[in-house]
Amino acid sequence: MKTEINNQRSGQALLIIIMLLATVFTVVMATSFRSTTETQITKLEEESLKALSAAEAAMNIALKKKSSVSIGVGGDISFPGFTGTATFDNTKTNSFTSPLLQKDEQYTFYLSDYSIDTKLFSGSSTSQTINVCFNSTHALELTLVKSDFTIRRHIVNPRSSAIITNGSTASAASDCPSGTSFTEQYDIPAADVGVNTRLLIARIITDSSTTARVGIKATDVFPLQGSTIPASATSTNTGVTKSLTLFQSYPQIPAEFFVTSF
Amino acid sequence: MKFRFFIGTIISFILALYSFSPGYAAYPNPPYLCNENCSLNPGGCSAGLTCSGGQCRNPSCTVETGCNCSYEIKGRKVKAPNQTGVAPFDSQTITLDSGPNSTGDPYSFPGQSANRTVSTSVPAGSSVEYTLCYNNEACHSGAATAGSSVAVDSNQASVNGSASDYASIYWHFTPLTPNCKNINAPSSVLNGDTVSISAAYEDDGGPLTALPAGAITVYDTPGGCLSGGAVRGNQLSPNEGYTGPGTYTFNWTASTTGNYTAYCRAWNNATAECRGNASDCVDGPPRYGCDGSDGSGTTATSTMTVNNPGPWYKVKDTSLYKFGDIDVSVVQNINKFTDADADDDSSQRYIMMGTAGVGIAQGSVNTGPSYAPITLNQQQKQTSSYNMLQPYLTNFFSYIRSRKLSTTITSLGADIQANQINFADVTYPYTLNGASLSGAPATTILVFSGNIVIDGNFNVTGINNNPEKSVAIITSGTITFSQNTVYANGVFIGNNIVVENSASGDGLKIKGNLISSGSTLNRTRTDNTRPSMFIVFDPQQYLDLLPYISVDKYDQSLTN
Repeated sequence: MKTEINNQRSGQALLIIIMLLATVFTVVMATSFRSTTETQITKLEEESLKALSAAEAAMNIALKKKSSVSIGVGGDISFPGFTGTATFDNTKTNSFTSPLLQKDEQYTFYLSDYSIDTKLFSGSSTSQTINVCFNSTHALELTLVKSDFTIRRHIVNPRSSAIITNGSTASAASDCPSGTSFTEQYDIPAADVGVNTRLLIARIITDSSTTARVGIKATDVFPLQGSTIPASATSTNTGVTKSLTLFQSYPQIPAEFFVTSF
Repeated sequence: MKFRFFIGTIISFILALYSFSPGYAAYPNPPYLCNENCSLNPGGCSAGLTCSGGQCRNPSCTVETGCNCSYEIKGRKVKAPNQTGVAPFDSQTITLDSGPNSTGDPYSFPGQSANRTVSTSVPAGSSVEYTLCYNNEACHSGAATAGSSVAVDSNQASVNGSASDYASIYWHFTPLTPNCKNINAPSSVLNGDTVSISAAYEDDGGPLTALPAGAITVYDTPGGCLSGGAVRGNQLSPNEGYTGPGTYTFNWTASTTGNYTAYCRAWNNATAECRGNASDCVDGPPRYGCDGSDGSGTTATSTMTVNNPGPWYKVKDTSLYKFGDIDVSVVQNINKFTDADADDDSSQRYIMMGTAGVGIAQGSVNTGPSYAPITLNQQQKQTSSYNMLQPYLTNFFSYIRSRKLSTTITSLGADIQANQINFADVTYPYTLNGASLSGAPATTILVFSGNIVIDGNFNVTGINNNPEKSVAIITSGTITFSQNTVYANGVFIGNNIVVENSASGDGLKIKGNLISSGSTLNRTRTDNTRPSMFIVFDPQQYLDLLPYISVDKYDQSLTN
């Protein structure tokens, strides 16, 4: 009878020990799994940043070399564990939106082909109506510089306020470049553009400190407005890919070098 | 007997009663004294008195009870209705039938003791009415009676028998002239300009009958309006044909600087004339001062100052940002920078001619003269009270050093490098002249870090056998255009710009552009019908200089 009782006690202790061991095992296994997952996520983030850096490096080198570059073994850039390219996108489009512009800045749109190497214009502009799009807090002074060294000007107020006395008034934006919420539109007649316009310079006149973009859109494509360099880099280990695009404009005349002031 | 005694007693009794009655004392035996009852014996008053209303009174002053007849005749001579102190009316002669007269104003004849007839002289070309009040002045603002003579009733005048009794007579004169008023003439006129002067003409004390030469007359103020009684100055004829009362305009051309007075004149045939500037221009009847807009001649005269025009600036085919105010006054008939100048156009009387952009004033836009203000640009596209940001004027040096192909040179001329920016390592102030660009490339960009002087004509075809180049002169210091510089071609960008007065009295013409980060004083010029500073925007230079005086803009976006 006494032996039976002792056996029962030994079985209970064993059961308790087994349960404790199971608990410890469970905790150890759970901790180990989380650590592995976090390590994997951190590594992906690291690879992503490395990919971004590789793409930016390729983009900058392409910009400097003024030609496409590749990343990887045997490429223009050796970035271990990554492959990719930075190319020049020479696709012409019928719309273009400027970078963000501050008060009193101006942006120079190119309406004839321009070579950054020879610093010369070539060809002619397309005689077509150009929709100039902007925002309601800004007035625009538009200057067309012609190949015969003459100019045309249009001075446009937004619909809501007469920033410039006797300026023309824009209409509501209806056919503007996508990707930016323009509210105002002014159409430069095709006759003013003609075939001999080199530059269209849009100067922002406003009391607002808000930055804004100016867009142009027409039926036919515009000449290149600068260098567009899409670049991407992919990690050969993780497959992580980063892509970005850099736009470098053709030469921009600052407004303060363009406007007579004294 | 007894009966007789009885009757006698009764009569004596009645007489006795009567002698004790009150009426017995007021009816003494004549002669009656002043104010005594004379009703029962009108002829019983004392000598010098008359029975009036049952009382003995002074025959000249029957109302007055003290039999003292004494009063004063007094009054004024006014321009109708009641304007005092107006010549020649205030000096007219007032005459009493009893002899004395007066030219004073106010006038007074004290000690009157009888009826009087008072009369006034009347100047030629005018009429007169009178108002007569006894012992008050209330009637003078009422209706007047036509006439130059009036009878004064001493009975109405002397009511108290004291010296304070009076008869007041106002003589209201009216010149038989038409009126002119509301002269509209500019207060400031530029010498050589023709200005329009207008005035309104109307019937007044007399009808307007004509507007001959002189209806507006302008004279130099220091010289006076009259000379020997004759009118001085320019006697202007109206631009419109005479059609009766109304507003007429006249043209006057200023030919000499100084102060001038313009006044209007209105005629009633040969009867009378009114002149606006009464104090200086009216020599006597039948010429009078005009009533003007308030009866005192206001707005019938105007003064003008004629000044020589000052220097002004003109820009072509460009936008303008003016530090401070745009404050320019330009003659009506401008001339080109020079008669042979191919860029200027005398028919474009604008500060911004050609294909102008926006005209922006940091302060306000004040263009003159008032009668013909010069317009900023053809379509008056402008704004004011605007501060234009110019960040690149201060940051461009560091930008081009880091981003543009550049070189440093210690001398100019042939050492200037093409296709890049040339930083000049020179001693300041440094002088640029016609030789500075000899052998320089067709497109030249020179950057300085101190004060430079442009001495003599610069970058002009033919100077030192140079063809004209596309040139940018950029400095962090001051660019001075010396007295010897009339023509300078290039884009001049400086922290400050100084334009010295020309030794020859000529202006300064810049073909290219002029850019400063501060206000610039213009030079004076001998002939200010021409712009003193003429800046012609040159698109060719900008296209040539585009790679150098420019920046690149970047836009980067993450697409994945």
